[in-house]
Amino acid sequence: MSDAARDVPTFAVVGHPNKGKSSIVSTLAHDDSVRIAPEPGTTRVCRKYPMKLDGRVQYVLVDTPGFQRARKALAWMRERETRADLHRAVVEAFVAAERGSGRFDDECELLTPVLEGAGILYVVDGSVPYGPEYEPEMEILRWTGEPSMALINPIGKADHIAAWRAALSQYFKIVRVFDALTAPFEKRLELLQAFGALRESWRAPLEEAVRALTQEREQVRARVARLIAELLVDALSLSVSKPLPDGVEPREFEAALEREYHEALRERERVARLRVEEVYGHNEIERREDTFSLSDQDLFSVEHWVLWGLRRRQLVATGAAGGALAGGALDAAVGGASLMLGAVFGAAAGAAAALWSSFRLETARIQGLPLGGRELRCGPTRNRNFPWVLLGRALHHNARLAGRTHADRGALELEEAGGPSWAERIESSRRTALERIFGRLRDGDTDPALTEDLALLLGPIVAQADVAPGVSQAGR
Amino acid sequence: MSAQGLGRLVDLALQLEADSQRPAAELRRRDRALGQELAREGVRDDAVVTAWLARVRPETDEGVGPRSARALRGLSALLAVLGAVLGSGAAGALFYYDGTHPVNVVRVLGFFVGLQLLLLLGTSVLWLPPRWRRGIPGLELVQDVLSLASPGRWLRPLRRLLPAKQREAAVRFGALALRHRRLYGEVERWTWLSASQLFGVAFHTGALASALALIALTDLAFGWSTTLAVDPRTLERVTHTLALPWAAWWPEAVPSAELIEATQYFRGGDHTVQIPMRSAPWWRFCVACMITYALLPRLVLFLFARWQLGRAVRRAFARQPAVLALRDRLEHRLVETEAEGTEAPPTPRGSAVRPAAPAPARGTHCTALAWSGFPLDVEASLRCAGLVADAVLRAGDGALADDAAAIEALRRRPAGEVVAVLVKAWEPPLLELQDFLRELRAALGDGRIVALVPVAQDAAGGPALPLEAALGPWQSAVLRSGDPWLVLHAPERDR
Repeated sequence: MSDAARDVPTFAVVGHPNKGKSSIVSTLAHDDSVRIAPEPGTTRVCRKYPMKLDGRVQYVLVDTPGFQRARKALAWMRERETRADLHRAVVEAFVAAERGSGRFDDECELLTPVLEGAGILYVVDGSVPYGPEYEPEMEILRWTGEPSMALINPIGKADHIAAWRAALSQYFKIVRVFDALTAPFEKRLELLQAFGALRESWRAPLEEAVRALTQEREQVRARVARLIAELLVDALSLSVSKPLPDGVEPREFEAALEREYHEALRERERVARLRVEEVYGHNEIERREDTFSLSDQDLFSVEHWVLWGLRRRQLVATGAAGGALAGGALDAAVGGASLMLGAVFGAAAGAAAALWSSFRLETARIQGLPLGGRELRCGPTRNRNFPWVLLGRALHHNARLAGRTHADRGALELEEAGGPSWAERIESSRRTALERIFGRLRDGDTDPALTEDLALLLGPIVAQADVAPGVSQAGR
Repeated sequence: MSAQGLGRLVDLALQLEADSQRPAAELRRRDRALGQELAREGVRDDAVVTAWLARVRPETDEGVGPRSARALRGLSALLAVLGAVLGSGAAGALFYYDGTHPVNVVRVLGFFVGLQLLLLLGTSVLWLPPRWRRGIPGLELVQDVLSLASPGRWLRPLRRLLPAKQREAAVRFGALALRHRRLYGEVERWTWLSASQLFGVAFHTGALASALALIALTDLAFGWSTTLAVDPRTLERVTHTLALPWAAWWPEAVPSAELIEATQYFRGGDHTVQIPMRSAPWWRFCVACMITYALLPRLVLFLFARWQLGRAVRRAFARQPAVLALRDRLEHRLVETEAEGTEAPPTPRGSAVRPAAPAPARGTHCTALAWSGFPLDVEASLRCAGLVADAVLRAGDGALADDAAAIEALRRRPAGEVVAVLVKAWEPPLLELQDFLRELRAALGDGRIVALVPVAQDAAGGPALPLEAALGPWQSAVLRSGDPWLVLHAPERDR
């Protein structure tokens, strides 16, 4: 018996093929890379999912292959059975004798972690009828003598849980129902805590793990709030521009530039979505949602631009200042004899020259690069509703993710269900504070701390997603 | 804030930009390990970020940060030299005396007091928050002009004078600031403003030095003259007001009424002005004005800009979102739950074979074998599948010897009779069934059709045809059985 498995709580998730073992592991390990296939027997070797806290293993889940020849394996053992106290020895002898024989590869593989001291989590599907063919599996597991728990995982809609519970109770002291596909976060933690009942020495590390996972969940909320804040700040200050060729009406380019602007906004939202999903550990998710549209009459402005990005008005003023300085220098040089007329004329001449040259610059080129011209700019939007729409969509996305398990491989449906939107549920004082920050962003405030302030405000709102399962589960 | 601090900010920005392209899990592992290391060393609060940067991006002379710092130092030196040269030139012009016209104190005051106060006022406009600036009509234009005339703007053209490596670093810093204007815009703004003030300090230091040199090394005559109708008493009030800051401890630098009266001059027909020998005491007043109203305010603004720059750098170091995310990674325990390594691709069991016979037709008579505790009524199940049971056997749920007996019984059935193996459609096909089918084939020999019939259970507990989705594993099991006479019998459900 392995000391390591006894010291570190280890749980072998075992059972019939295709009864949701991998789904349970996927949900508990927050890992959507676990293969969940309708084809039975895709798991051929054990795979370990250690829960580590700063690199220290708190517990290990072991996904195992399903029983394929349990009746024959039990027959093998019964042929050699002498007394109950030797049951475990017979199972060990079976694994030792049959490993690599090709006859009982799956049984040997799945029994190995159990014989090394792992607790047994026996998984059945509560939505299909109980069958006696499961009994050899349960009997073999009982012979190992390791602590065990049965999990009824209802994969389909039909309810055969009562029959299963009655049968499983004959073999297992603890029988729990756990829906791997829909279990909310708290239920997952409850199950982990329940594993502590299998062996007294496992209770403390499992409680520590549950505490760490709870804290991690709070961090996840803070990270999501920060990502949403970054998205809002980014989107509210976004603008795209295009130099306008000579003699072209800005209107001709408006539609294309508006498309580019909306595309840039959507891209920012898409990237933010990916990052939020990454925070939740969902790396292989497919999304279904409508893209938003922004109707804003004030998106466009036409600016004259010249080299170094000076606008014509700026250039005229600069020319005047430059002329005044030059004129002032002339006054100084002649000892004030010009009675400061130099400065006055200098300013006027400078302004005129600059104005003239700004028109010239619009058409001038150096090595093919235009030095100046007009520029059509789209954004940033002044639409006061825009940040709320974006925020509502981000909160809705978060709520869907917060309630989604890693065993759920369906597309993430993001069409808003009926009822009040997420943005509307925000309490009024917080909404006022948010609007104040949105206003500062609309006004072009570039304080880097604004993102943090926004994230702090959004933190409790993001957390609401975890306590509103009705919303998070909607649309399944 | 030193140029080195700004250089480290450049390094930080580049590191954060590079990190944003790396997988989050990798960053969490790397940074948490560093965070624990720093915690053990007692590094706390904002110092954590600096210490982290030193670990992930050790400072080397060839790094972009140090090169940017050197570039900034070089540009500052160039600005300072330019300022000092222009300042001494301006003082040279204002304190110019060739024996014809005395140094006009009014012009000195106009330049070193009036103009400076105006410029200071204008500069202070730039330092107002954007919202305030927008609220004052016409200020935007003034602000635009002043910001464009600011020597800070000369940094870009001056950049050409730097060595290639420093110039490249400065360009990267500029591009970085442009890409992340929101994050580094304040730093850029105060960099420019502190460069402007450095220029101002250098300008007035140069002017002061030049003026003192002219005073000490040449014989200057001072006087005052203006086109405006200003009487000596008005000038006396002005000079006494200006001299208030130093009047108490440097009375010699306060011009007396007699001096003001005696040194007023008017343009004469022969362009030569007679100035009494006692005009010299004006120099103290001029120097005090240059120090008090030109040099000191610039020095204060320079120090203020440097302080603000330091603050902006510290804020960019501590408050930007990527740094907050970094602090999160450094300071919070790393929770990992995912599997170690990647999962091996699935390897199918058996090899695919083409079926040699079609599934039995509707109404075919067969021997039924109920497999592994098949719980439904066998005859009804076969009827549901469109077959007729001539005999019913059971296997897969008792002793292994019972399986052998069932095989033997099937072997004895008429040679052409189809064997229908009834299985629970909701359970997967196990290897145990495959073993049985293989043994059955060995007993029956080639050519005898064995039909696998998955049956579902309806809501009332009776037999039903399975859904399409449930048939996939069975279809696959038949295909990979290696037995061409094993067929899947699964009639379509009524739509």
